[in-house]
Amino acid sequence: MALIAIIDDDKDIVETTGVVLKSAGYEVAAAFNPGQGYALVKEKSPDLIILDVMMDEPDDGFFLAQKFRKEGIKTPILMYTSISKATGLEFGKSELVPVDDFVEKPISPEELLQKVDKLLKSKRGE
Amino acid sequence: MLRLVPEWTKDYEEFWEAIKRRNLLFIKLRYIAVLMLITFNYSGEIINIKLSNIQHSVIEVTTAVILLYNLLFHFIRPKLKSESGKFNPLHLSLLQIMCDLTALTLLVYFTGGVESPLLIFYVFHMIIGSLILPTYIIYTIATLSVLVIAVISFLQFHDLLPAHPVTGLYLHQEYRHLPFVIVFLVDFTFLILVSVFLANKIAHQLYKREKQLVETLEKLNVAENRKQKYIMGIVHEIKSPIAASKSILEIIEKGYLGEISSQVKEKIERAKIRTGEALEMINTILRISRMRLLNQKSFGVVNIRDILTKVIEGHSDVAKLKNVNIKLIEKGKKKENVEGDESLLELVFSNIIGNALKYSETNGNIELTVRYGKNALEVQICDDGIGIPKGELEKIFDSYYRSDNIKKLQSEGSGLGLSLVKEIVEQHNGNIKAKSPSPLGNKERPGTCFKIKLPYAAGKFRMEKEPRLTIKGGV
Repeated sequence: MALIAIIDDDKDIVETTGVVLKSAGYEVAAAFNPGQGYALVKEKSPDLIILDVMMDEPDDGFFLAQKFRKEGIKTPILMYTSISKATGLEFGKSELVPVDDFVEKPISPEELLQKVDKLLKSKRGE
Repeated sequence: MLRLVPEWTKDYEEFWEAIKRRNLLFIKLRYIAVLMLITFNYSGEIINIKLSNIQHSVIEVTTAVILLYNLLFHFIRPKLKSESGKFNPLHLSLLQIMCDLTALTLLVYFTGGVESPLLIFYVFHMIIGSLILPTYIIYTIATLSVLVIAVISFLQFHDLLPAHPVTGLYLHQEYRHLPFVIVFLVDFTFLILVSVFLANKIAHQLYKREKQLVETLEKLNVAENRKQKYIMGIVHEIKSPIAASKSILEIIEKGYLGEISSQVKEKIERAKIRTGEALEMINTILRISRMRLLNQKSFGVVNIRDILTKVIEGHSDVAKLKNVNIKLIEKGKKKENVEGDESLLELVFSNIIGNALKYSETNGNIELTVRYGKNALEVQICDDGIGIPKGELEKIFDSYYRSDNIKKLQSEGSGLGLSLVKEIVEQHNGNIKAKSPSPLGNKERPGTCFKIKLPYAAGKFRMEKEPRLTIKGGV
């Protein structure tokens, strides 16, 4: 079964996401800051990365996403944001933000599972 | 190009507007001057003033020339751009004064030099010039005017230049009378220079004040921006824990952590709705902050139908709980796209539909009717909720206003919503109207209708047309 890495500094979000993903049969590994997250991805090479924007960290989620891409890690990234479409500050898919999709917090289990499924399918298709 | 403009006026629209208005005023005044010259030329004889043939001809030609250049100024004035470094409205002001002074000097010479009844008009030009031209330029003009008059008087006194006194105005040939000439020239010099000095001083003080005002307003806007950023930061901090809580409630309610009793489920549902309300409010504040900070930058093509569907979907939890039926009706040939800011328009409909739900009772009805018109589309949102009391319909769009029957009903709500909704709709060059009772209503539940009209092509956002110097107040 696919392994999904969750990188978020909010433990409740990590746990909630974990519950939802495990219920759908995915394996889950978690990290609580960008440094841990980087190590986790390097070590376990997950099939999908769920990455929070983590604005408070010095090297935020965007930075980490770029770092992965620079090092040739092509694992699909699903980004968690809390400022996105609702506030009009929408991040587009671009060179600067090398992620594959966004999920806005609060998390809706259906939306999360649907997006995870889609990204994993597209990964297998490649 | 001659630099006439102080540096701080570069982006100060009001400065240019003032110059433009003054230019127009001068042009209008000049038409009156033309009429006065014509009167002077032909009606002097009534009071026994006789003009020679040369004088008549010179006044006629000069008047015609003045009229011609005035028409020219009138024509080019609206075409000038307010840019320093190019020929701008201020240069037009200078050109007007130069032309007028030349014409005036000519007329003064041909109406008697020191004896000319037109000499007094120099003063007007000096005052006007002092108000709009830089100090060194107006002093140069004043000195030149005095010198020219002095030279003319000197030459006429010594018969080196033919004199053209107005017959019948003075008893003697005053221009040949040395004490008169000396006293006149001293007087004239003082009159001109003191007029310039005083007018210039007042104008300078006004400019200084205006400059201070500009700087203060700019500081206020910087402070407002900082405030908005601070609010965004804080609100974002508040959003995280609420979003996390709602995520947790969501997985409990959906049974991810095991079966729960219907009673617990119902309470969880309530908690979810309440946290949802908090998030909605937070998003509104974030949106306003963004609107104030970025000053409307995400302007694009927006599909109104998509927005409505999304907003209805977003409120489906509450609708389900209250068993309120939301219906979307479309009329006319479909034309769903308008120009605008997607997230702001979403905020508009989310607010109105949210209100409709909030003030609906169980088993209520909400009807969204979209009419696709030729140049604009119209969205009507009607409910059969508590309605709006008579006499309060106009007030509902005021900031912080909450109707009496709402206050009794519940304590939540900021009252900020509808004033913001109106602001956004108007920025899209649309309009919003409220009506109560609504066609869906009945005696107990009169209901409310909101009608929002949005043009397909919003044109430029209204905000951009407003003068730059407004304080962008916010949350």
